[in-house]
Amino acid sequence: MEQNTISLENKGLEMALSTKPPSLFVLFWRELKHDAFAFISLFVLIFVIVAVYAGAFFLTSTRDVMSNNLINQNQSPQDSGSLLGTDSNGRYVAPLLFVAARNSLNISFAVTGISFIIGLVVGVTSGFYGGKIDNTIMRIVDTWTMIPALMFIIAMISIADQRTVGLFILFLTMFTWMARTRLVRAAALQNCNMDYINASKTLGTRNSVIIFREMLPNLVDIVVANFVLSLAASIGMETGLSLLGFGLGMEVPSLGTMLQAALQPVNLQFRWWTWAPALILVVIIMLCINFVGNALQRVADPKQRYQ
Amino acid sequence: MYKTILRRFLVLIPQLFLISVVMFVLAVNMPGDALSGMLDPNLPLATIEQMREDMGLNLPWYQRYINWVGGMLVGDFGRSTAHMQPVLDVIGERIWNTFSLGVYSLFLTYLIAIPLGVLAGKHSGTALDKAIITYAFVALAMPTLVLGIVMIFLFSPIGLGWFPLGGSVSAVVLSTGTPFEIFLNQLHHRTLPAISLSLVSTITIIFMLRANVIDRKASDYVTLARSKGVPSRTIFGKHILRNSLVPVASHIGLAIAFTFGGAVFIEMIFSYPGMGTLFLDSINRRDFPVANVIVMFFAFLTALGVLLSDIILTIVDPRIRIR
Repeated sequence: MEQNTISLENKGLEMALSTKPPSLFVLFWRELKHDAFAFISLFVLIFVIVAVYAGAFFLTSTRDVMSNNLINQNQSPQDSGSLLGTDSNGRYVAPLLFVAARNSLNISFAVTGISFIIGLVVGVTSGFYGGKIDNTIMRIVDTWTMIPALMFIIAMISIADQRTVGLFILFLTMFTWMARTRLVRAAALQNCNMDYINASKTLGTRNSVIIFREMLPNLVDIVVANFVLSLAASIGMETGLSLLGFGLGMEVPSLGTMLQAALQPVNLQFRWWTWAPALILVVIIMLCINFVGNALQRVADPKQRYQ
Repeated sequence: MYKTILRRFLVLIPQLFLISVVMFVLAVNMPGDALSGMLDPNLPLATIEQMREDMGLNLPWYQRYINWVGGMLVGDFGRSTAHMQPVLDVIGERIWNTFSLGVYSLFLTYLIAIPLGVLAGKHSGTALDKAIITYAFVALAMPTLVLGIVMIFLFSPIGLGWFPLGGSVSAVVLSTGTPFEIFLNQLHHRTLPAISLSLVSTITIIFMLRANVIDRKASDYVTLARSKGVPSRTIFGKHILRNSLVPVASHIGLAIAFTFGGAVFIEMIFSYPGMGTLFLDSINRRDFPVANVIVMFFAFLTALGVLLSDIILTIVDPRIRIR
């Protein structure tokens, strides 16, 4: 009798070990099937991203889109005969929207990517080694977080001789890496306290192997989910700063610089086509990202995911 | 506990010191100074140089930094170069506007978030819950400034005309109205920016409350109370709600920091005369004494907010003690 239960347990264990856990992609798909909002959002998001990059790629040349035409200023869609009319510089809004959205997406991908790379390196170091290293790093992160980020970015952008895209990405990254570091560090710390890492340490596995082959795969879910959500935050920051005139220069259109038109009451009241398309696009992109990111976040947490 | 609070407070000092150095170095490196663009171009260079010398602009940056910090320690915050007034006077005019906007916005935040969060948690899984979550997601998709534009478009005189646009109080009311009318008018002017600010901060609180209520509903002590036959109204009001509000109470410090930080930027969209518009104006006019003090003020406010959150947490949750 006793032998029987033991062999059954062994069998269960064997089965559990022999079947691979479902991949992130499979779990995500399972989640999507039960969340209509996330499902639709994913397809809208893919469509928008593909359309924006393809559209911006196939536009004859950025120079054409950007060239000012003072005769065609502020023409409504009916007057100009094009889909979305022209803005206060006489540029056609529709093609401009593609280039602007591509720039905004590029910037937010870059900012999120770089700040996650920093976050992973610093956060894993801090969480894995703990002790003094952890204390020092977290003190620095705390101090850095106290800085009023947007004010500093405004001050730094005023200093810059030239407002280049790279510089803007650098400034945004300077104030987004702390949150990512905190996130990764908390997850790494949690993993380090688990038995599998302790067992591995006892066995004398090298630290590099523990970190890269054993711990990092367990952080992937959380990082992917938060990467997607952070994209929305980066787009929000870019839009806000450019809107106030402290983002990109005039020669690089972005969704934020297009929204600047809305700061003039005349445009806001009578010329919806100069600002509304950019605003709607920002909201659609952020809404979709949030729904998809939230579904991913549920996938990353075994307690919340759809069984 | 007082000791730990004091210790946390002392840790702030080196942190604020570091931030002040960085901000000062940034300010010194900005192209142009308080005199550029302000002077008659026909003035001889020697005169301008003399004025720079008199204002202390030619000293090395560390000398100027020491003068600045030394002044602040004895309560002298310097003089604004653009307004020709002491910095404290310039900021003093604006600080009440930002403060009242922030407080009003915080009030609206909790007024919206607490009922919605509790309802979503209480009726989790129902259509009401889904509607509230959808609201939160839509609000999350609106960066504060974009929301500001939408608000102006819909409710200012450009749209429905329910709320005025720009300024903090109407001049007519200020000169002729009774104190109560002035107060109402101020409230009226602050409503649009305050709502734009608070919608974003409601989201965190709604999600937090909802998760807490759902968590408590399934907890053992609630099951025990139910099996003892405590009426569900009492269970919800006394056992679930009170415990769920603990994290929300401790979140208020962070909410304060977040709201005031956001207020600075929403002001620019609504051309509202507060610290934010003053900051932008100071940066554009190279009025560094004012800009530096504003940055330090907000860094200090953020730090205080975080500290306040920790203190409240230890008061309302006996399990946690500040180390």
